[in-house]
Amino acid sequence: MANRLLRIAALVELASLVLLLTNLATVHWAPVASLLGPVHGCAYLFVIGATVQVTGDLRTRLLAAVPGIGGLLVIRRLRRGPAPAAGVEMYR
Amino acid sequence: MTKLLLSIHVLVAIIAIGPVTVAASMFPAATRRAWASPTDPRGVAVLHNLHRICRVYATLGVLVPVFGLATASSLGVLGDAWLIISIILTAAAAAMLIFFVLPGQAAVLRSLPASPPVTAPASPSGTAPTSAPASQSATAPTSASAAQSATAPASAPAAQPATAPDSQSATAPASPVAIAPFSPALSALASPPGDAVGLAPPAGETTGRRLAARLGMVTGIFNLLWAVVVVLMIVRPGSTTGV
Repeated sequence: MANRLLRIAALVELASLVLLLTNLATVHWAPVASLLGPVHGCAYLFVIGATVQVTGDLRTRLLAAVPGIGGLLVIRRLRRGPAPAAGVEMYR
Repeated sequence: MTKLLLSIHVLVAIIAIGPVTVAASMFPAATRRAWASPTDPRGVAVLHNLHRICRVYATLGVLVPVFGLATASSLGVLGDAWLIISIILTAAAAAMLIFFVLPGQAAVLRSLPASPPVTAPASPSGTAPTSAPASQSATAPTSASAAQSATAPASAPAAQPATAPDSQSATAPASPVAIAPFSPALSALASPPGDAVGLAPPAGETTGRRLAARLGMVTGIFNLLWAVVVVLMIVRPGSTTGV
């Protein structure tokens, strides 16, 4: 469950940030900003929460806190390095 | 826009936090029932289901404070005393849920005889843990606990310390700090290895009752905090924005 949540939240995090910045650069519609702002904030928190559930690795968890692309960075790191190794590292 | 934000905030508060309060309140009683008849697989299945409701809807609950803050900022009431107190109480309730209620439920599920681990230890896929324990818990206890109802409570705690670190690393917000309040009960569960064969069911049931009582207390505190926040949101002492 946490992995699927992580994937969805990572995409929403980036997409909402792109939309927010596009809105800021172009029409600067206030309603769009005040609606997408909380959505982006939620996605950011979901990414951090899901990452904490998925892995115990400190570097991966810190990566989740990177604004905008943190979720995608975490997914890439989880795909490259196997998660069990990260779990063992915590108890070393 | 304020009305839309406020609608989302209230709707998510009802839909997400409501199930958590109900399921968390049912959990201690269901724990006592599961310990009263350990051979019945339905007790364990109910506990797994209640825990899953609490976890999933607690995650959804993140939406409530975020949209609440957005509503407050668009209303321009972020500095009001009633709101600051509500935010502090909400943070306390969330901490109660994340650090005490959910880990307590996980501890109960681990302490049950012949119950599978709550989440599979640090599997890379992450999709397996949701389905695997559910199917196992439905089928496993019928054969296992019927055959060895006397020995099951004794063998389960013995196997527990070996699996605990793995499952803790997997359910991370529940990790070392969170399990700590329940560790005395867990160590007490694992401590009597010698006389556990003869006296296992009463000892296990006592432990289950103790875990359930503690869980009932923290769940009650969570529900009380949440109720106070809701009342504060309605009464809003000192507010000038109507009602």
